[in-house]
Amino acid sequence: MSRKQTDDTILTNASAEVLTAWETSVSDKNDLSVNISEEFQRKIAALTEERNRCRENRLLIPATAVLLLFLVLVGLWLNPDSAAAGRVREWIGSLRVEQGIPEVRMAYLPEGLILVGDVQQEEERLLRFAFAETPELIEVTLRVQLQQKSSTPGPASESVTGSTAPGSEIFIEFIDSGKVYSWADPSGRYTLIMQSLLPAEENDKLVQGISLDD
Amino acid sequence: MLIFFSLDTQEDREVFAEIYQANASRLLRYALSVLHSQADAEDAVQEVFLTLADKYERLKALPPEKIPGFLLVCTERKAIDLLRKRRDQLPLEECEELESRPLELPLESAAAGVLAELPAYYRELLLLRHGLGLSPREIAAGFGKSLSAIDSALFRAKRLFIRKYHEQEGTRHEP
Repeated sequence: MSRKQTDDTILTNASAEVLTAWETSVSDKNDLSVNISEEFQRKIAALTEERNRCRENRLLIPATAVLLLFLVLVGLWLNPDSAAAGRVREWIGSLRVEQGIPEVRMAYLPEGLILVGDVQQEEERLLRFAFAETPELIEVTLRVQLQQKSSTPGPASESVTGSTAPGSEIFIEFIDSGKVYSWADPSGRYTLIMQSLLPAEENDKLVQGISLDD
Repeated sequence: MLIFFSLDTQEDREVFAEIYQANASRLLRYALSVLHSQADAEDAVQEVFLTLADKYERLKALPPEKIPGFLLVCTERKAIDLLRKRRDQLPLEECEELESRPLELPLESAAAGVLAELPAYYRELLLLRHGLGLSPREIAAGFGKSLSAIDSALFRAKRLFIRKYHEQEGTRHEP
């Protein structure tokens, strides 16, 4: 057998071994149930439908691309800050959270507002927080997720909607596989991640309202 | 029930739905372990299935037992691609670390160990070509790249594997 044939055989056997071990390592974790959210399934169906619509209207694609480019350029012209993609601006404080989370770190990313705070509350499954100092009422929808600091992500809540009018509150309840999940963790192993699902311009208003310590 | 409009026949849709049902949860779990974000992981897995639906004609010839491995490799690639697209928002080291992250698996042979430690892209190409028997054209379809790009990357990946394998063998046999 030539050297090349030997190398090919070694590579083929090694590939089969790695694939088998890899598949097994993923399958072994069946006890960690992962929900495939209805939203995820809807997104797949919607994206597939959208793409097929585009296929049927191929002539419209160049026109759409030109329109999108125009809108992006207009957006950049109107809001030059958004051109500085990747520059994360952070603010400390100014988000009032009852019973815990004395400080919440907020990072404003081009595609949305990300709020990050350490969960330090004990035995509490409802997170209650209120925005303060917002200049005007904004209907806000947040996607909220608990993330274990050790690396394994925890359960996510459904997206929640509330108002940022001063004094109003948003309640978040974590439910995983039908079981109410206690998000509180006295040892501080979890990080709470809240992602605003607002359009960018609404996020700007929200950020202007709460960025007291810029 | 998901309806995959891009698939031409009812039979294709049923087969695709079966593949989805059998693999989505597992792939989502793996993507979560890479990305640490439910939303990002769902995006990555969603992209894998959309690509699969898009290239279904070319990929449906794949034997059923090879589909889980194919999807797993594609999920890792989509997850890394997703992070690379957001590179300007992430520390550079984090992206590079992910690309060079070895697969930590219980492996018996030295050759498998060498393969698991290759950069992710090279490892994925070799697994698809030599582990699953996909042609470069099929890999190009799955990864959304040109055939020449895949051919050239496969050549480099194999050369790197052989060099590292023989280096390791040489080290092991030194007195």
